[in-house]
Amino acid sequence: MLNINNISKAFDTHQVLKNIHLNVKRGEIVSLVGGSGSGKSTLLRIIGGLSKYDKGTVTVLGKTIQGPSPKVGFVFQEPRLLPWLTVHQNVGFAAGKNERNDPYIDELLDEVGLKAFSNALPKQLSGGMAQRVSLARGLYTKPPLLLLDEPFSAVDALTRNSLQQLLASVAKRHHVTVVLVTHDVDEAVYLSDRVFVLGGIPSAIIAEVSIPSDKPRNRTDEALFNYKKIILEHLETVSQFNSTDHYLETKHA
Amino acid sequence: MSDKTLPIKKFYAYFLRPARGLLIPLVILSIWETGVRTQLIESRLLPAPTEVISLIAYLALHNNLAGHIGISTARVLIGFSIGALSALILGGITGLSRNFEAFFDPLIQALRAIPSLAWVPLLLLWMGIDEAPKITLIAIGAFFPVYINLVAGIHNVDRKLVEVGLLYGLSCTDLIKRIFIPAALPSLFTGLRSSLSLAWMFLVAAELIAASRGLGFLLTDGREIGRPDIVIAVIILFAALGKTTDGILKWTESYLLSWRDSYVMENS
Repeated sequence: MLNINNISKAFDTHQVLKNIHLNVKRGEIVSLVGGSGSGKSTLLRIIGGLSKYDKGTVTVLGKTIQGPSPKVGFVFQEPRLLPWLTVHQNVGFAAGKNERNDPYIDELLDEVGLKAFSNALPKQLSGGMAQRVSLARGLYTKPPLLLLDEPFSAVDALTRNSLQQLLASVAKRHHVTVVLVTHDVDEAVYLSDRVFVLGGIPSAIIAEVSIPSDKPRNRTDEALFNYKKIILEHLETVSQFNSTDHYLETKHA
Repeated sequence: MSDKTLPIKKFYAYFLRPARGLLIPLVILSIWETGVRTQLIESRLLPAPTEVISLIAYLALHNNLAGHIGISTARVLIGFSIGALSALILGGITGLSRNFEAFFDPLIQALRAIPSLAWVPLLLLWMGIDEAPKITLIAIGAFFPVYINLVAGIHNVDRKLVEVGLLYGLSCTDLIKRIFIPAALPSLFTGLRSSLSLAWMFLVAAELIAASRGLGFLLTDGREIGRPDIVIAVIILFAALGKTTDGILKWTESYLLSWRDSYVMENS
């Protein structure tokens, strides 16, 4: 489904990513974790066609990524809803110039629990609701691949849990392959089939952790805790991360 | 909120709250009227409000006041439309094209630094004393607020929203239509309202210079024949017309920009 082959990327003289290799199978959910500045969002933007890369190739379903494509859905860290459009229009915005009144929008809104807010404006939504709309917009073009860049980092813990459950169920129902960038190791372990740990300067994939536990998962499952421990240990080894303390805090919490 | 208090709150919201703005002018008018009637204020310098209102009624019935108002309003609307439309076109291109901005913006900023009234002698020399110089002067005054605010509005469009448009494959024209224009509308309206109020100011300047009709002409006439009541009546009419046209623009702004998540002060 997604093949990343030998990708490198530099901003001016600062090399961010070097020789990244990554293959994701159809229907898989994979997470990219790493400290701030580890290039995980840059890698996601490259996959989404929003950033150029200097070397290597990125293909989705065998086609090289050369720019944004309806085959790749994107959910940003902030909902990025257009404030002058209603919830319904924001989801339909994903159709680009082919926008029309489509019953599929209502289906998606129903699925994310916001059908009743179809005519609401973004200013009337909470952060979690806005991110649900953003998720519906990301799914509107029926993309085989959905990219999410720390989508739940700005919401409270309870909302985050419910959004994670929503993502897991939506990914399953739509048979969509998901690449999720997150700071939250719990989130990565709860949702993913595989977790890739990014680190180093320039950044590379330093570890790959497979999580074969059945879904839907139980957050209190001891096995999940062990995977979390393994990922945290990998993160600790990357001494140049400024944010290692954050992970240690998470570990000992 | 209980059902009993609802009608009271609605009455307050629809009638009393907007009427609050009339309170202070009414107090001032009462003091003014009392001052003239008790001869604390000389009526030959400052006639009482009731006298001014009677004069407005007289002018309306016997001196074609509607014609004067009509020609002044027409001058403002035509000058404002020409100035604002030119600013929309130039400001739109300057805001969207860095190249165009590099070539033209320094010139436009230099022209903005010229006090608009300094154009008057040149306009009179070029265009005579007919309608053209008056409308041109109003258009010059109306141009700059729209231009400045529109360019700033376009430059301040959230990069992240533009990225959403690019993500969904919008063409350049669609990006302008669906992202830049709606996002820059709040700034544009700020410019349009300043521009309209400047248009009324420049109308007075234009009609004071050379006019045989219009409110500015009545103002000059009142001064020349020593009639402060006429001058005050015209000032009040300018205030009413300016407020009305601004009110229309403000209403349009609220209607078109109802999506804005603006701070609304709670009653306290």
